[in-house]
Amino acid sequence: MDAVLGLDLGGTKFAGALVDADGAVHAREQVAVDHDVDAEGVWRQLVGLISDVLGNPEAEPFTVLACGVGSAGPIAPNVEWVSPLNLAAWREFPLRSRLSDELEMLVVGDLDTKALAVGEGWKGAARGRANYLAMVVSTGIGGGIVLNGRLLEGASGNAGHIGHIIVSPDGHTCACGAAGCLEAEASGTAIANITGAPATEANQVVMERTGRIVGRGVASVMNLLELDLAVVGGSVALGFGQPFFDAAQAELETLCRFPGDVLQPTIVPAGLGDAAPLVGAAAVAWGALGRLG
Amino acid sequence: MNQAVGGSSAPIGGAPASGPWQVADFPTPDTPLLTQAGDEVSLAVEIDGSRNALALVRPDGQVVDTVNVEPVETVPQLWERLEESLEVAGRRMARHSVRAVCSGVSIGSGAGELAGASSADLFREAEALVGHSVDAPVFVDDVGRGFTLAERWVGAVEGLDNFAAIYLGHRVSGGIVLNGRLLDGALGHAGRVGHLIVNPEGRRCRCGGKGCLDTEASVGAIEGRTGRVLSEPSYDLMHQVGRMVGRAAASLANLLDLKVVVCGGPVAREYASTLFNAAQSEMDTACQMAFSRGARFTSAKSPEPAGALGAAAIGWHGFVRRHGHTGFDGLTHPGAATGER
Repeated sequence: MDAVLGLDLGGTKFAGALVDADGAVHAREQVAVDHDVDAEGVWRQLVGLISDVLGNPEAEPFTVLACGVGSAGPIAPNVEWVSPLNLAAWREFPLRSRLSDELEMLVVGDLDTKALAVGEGWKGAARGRANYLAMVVSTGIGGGIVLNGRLLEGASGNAGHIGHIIVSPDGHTCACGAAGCLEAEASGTAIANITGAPATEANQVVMERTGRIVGRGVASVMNLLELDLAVVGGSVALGFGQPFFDAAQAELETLCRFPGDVLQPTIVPAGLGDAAPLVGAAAVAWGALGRLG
Repeated sequence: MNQAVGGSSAPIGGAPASGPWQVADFPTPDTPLLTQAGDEVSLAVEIDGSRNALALVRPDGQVVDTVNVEPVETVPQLWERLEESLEVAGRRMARHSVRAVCSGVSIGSGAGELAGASSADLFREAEALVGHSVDAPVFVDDVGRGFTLAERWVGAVEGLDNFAAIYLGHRVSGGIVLNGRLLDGALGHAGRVGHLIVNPEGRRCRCGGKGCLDTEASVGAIEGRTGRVLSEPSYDLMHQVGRMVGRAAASLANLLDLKVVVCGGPVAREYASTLFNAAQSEMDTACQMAFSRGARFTSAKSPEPAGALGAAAIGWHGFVRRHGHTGFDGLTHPGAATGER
């Protein structure tokens, strides 16, 4: 049976698994990244994780055709190099060539949020849809946009950065330096800054406010691009659950109108749950193999 | 959220993808689009209510001739006058020894103000009427998207593969070109920059939403709330409109990985440098991502009237796409398109 190796590389943990052509996840492993090592030390942790996946008994029936990577940014196109913001040891680390040498197979990759968009369109909540936004509301906020069946790229591969559209012009200062970005108002980091407590301790009011603000940002993007579906993952959105999604949906219905009401904007939780980053990374590889179905 | 850095717009994974996720490429023309004679034009039809016009425009943007359409007040009058003008355009084509290989129709927001107008009907009936008069494919789009194509064709962003365009007309419209493609969207009108939300505590919009750019920076909104004609603004008003437009432009640059937003239309023309300076200042403050820092807010260059040239661009763009070419490149760089004539 054919499978691809999916790798999800964040600043705090690496995860890996084999993902078959139906999107099923096998031999899933993860490792907390040790930050007290140099670049080669981090690389050895990744190699160890890959060994764990490939050595897992669940991996035995599979022939691994390619490796797909979803990485925290900044990255160069196709993960030629990666510099995950919260992983200081890797700065312009030549990931694709190192993985290619190590695995002797096709290695492809993209930003984690864009990979998520591809995965959600393949097997998740946007399956079969040609126009949608997929986004993550967690420590930060990011996204990927599929329009007329194509993932938007942009000049440097950064299209989809919904976290930095301005939703509150007189709002809080963002980590980027601007004021009122969606990320400065509704990310986990922003919630902690605004309320003085981590997002995990948010009350109903905070959950609903976060939903409204996210709904406002999503409404702008939907209005702009004629989208009617937003798929939202990430620990904050999924952790807040129904109050968040109800508030966001209500905001969409207020702010997002199309002539003749031919599009009905909807915001829903990501369909792949906590497997979304791995399935997304794998989907990038399946896409490169021409087998996204 | 973290960002990607780098140059090319590689397909996902950079491999020769063949699935539905492949990013647009730019095939050089492999079939001759135009004849050796160079006698082809786009029959451009600008419909904007009070101002309607026809033009014959070559692939390099040269206007061969123009035909004015008599002013109208109702939709039936519009079709009547347009039909007469199309007959005149036919005679002019014979006189100039040119033939229309495509027709582009630009529907401006003013057309919606005519008695009896409905947007969907305007698009459909314009296509039928022009199609009846010309033996060539007819492409209909809105003025903002035509403006976007014209700016890429012969304007301030000639040949640029990534930019957004904002047209400050009776309503605010626009378009987005990303990796060389004009974005279409589910309904074919993506790039509705007039409905980016720039003032969440602002006014109700005609679309039913609230705080849209259209409520801050369109001719209709400005004249409606000031009670004065567009040409009599205060400095504060021009500055405020510029800030709102700049805010929208910054969101566009951050969302879509853009370095340039081009702006034109009557409001941009009247408010000139005050608007442009305020908008650029807003962008400088709000574009702080590595990929958007330094993004420019720039003035349109394509000759007026924007609608006529935009209509021609709509026609040529549709013509190139119809022949299997995914971008507008062939016409942006005429040599590439015509080299295989």
